[in-house]
Amino acid sequence: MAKFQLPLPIIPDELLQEIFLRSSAKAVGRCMCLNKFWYRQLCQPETCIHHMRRQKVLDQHVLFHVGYSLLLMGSDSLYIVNAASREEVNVQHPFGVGIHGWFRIVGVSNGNICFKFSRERDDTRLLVWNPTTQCSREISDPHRDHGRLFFPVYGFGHVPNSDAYKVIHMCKRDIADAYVFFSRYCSRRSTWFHCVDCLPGVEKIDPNSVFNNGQAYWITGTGDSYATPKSVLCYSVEDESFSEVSIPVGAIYTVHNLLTHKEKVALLAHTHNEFGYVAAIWHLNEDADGNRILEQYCRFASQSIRENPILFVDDNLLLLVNNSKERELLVNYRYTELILTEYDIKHGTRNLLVRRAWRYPETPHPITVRSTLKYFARMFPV
Amino acid sequence: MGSPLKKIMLCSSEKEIFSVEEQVMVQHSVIINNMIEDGSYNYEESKIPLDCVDSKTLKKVIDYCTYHTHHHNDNQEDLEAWDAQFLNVDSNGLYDLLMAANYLEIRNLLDLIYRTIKNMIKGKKIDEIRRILNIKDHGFTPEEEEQNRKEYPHFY
Repeated sequence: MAKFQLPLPIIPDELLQEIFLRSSAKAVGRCMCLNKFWYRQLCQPETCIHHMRRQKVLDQHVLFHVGYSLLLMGSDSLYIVNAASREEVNVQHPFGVGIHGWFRIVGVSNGNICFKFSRERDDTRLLVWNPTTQCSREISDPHRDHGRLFFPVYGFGHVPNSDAYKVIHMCKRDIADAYVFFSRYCSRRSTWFHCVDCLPGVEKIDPNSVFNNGQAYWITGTGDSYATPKSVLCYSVEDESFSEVSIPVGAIYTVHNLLTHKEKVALLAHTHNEFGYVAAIWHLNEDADGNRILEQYCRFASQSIRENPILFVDDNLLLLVNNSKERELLVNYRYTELILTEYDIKHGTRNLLVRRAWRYPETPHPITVRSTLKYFARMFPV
Repeated sequence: MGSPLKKIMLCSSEKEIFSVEEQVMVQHSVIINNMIEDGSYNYEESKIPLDCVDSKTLKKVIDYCTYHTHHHNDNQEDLEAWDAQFLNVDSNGLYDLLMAANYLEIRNLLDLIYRTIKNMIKGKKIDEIRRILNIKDHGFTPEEEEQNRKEYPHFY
């Protein structure tokens, strides 16, 4: 390569920005300290997100499971798996839960992970943690007493184009009526806002929720013991309002999961019928009149009914597959083997990414995390 | 698009005229492509004035476009070797090329130069990057600078 005598003539900022957008996050992070202008510029979430999009980092890094590893017996650990290099990295745990405690992932957004955890039986707390900067914030959980009786569900996500995040919590007031308690925690104000809303028609809410572009989504089901899925319940943080999209009959399978892919929200449904294991992906779209509807995107043969989606990587679907004790995984989150496969919808092929065995079936859940790297250091403060 | 052998005239800041195959420039430069497609260009009389590109740079740019038009089927290694040779210029030359490529919107050339500069700052410490990018006044107060150094010691 040619050697240039230094320094270079002063390069205009917009061209320099182009260069930064092409550089690795590590190099750009360093450029934050170049001068005041770049310090301000690179602190902005827009710049970070732009850079992540350009580098496809958002889709490449997956922090995907929590549990006791076979090798590190007795120590609970988190792993980051790089989907590109398949490298697994053990990350330091933000809290210790001990032998009586438990934890689970509420949600993941912009690389921050929200945990619900307890050191003792009923003492639940929420914690938002940025695995890259290792900063965390503990949030009190005002509704922790509801846990046993009211089937609370939690959601976690960032407000679009900002570094603020929200934790939302909802639970039914009573099995018999249509009222729900609803509260949301706003990181900007560090407080919870509560309200009670009447949502006619909502009987059961599935704890599986996603948060995308300032909207939270849950699956609701019928109140009977079958809990047949009925609709996708949406909550818009901006308008503070609920809306419902009914699930078409064709999408009612045995197991349902919500997931997001870029701007899209998808419903993944699995079943086992006379054709074997079948999975279908339904996208939440808008029709010509602006009404939201679920439209079938694709249907494919699956290997097991207990394929829990992790996320899409570009146009590939990453699935968490459990081959043994299938039925128990979803109900009790028990498993002895965890396999991460990549399903290529276009070519109908799958690649094995990670296979991991577990000694203790009662370990915490597999999780779905989209992690960013150590970005520009001020990125997404907790 | 015109026939491959049609020529267009480009006029540098020194008013020197360069005659180039139309195809070459249209393929690479978004700006020139737009001008030709507009239909405002007259093949007999018009010259495209490029006031912020000097003759030396314009000649290099034309070289680049010509080579990449005629050798786009070559294997990657040969092209890269040629590109490396092409960028064997001094830092002012590089800067002029960057500005010209930006002005004419020649994507490949821009990418090449961006990559080169990116590689220059890759793995460097802050002070070195400041030196490379010619940032003399960083605008931080001594306290802020101290704070940064303390917070991100590995950057320095």
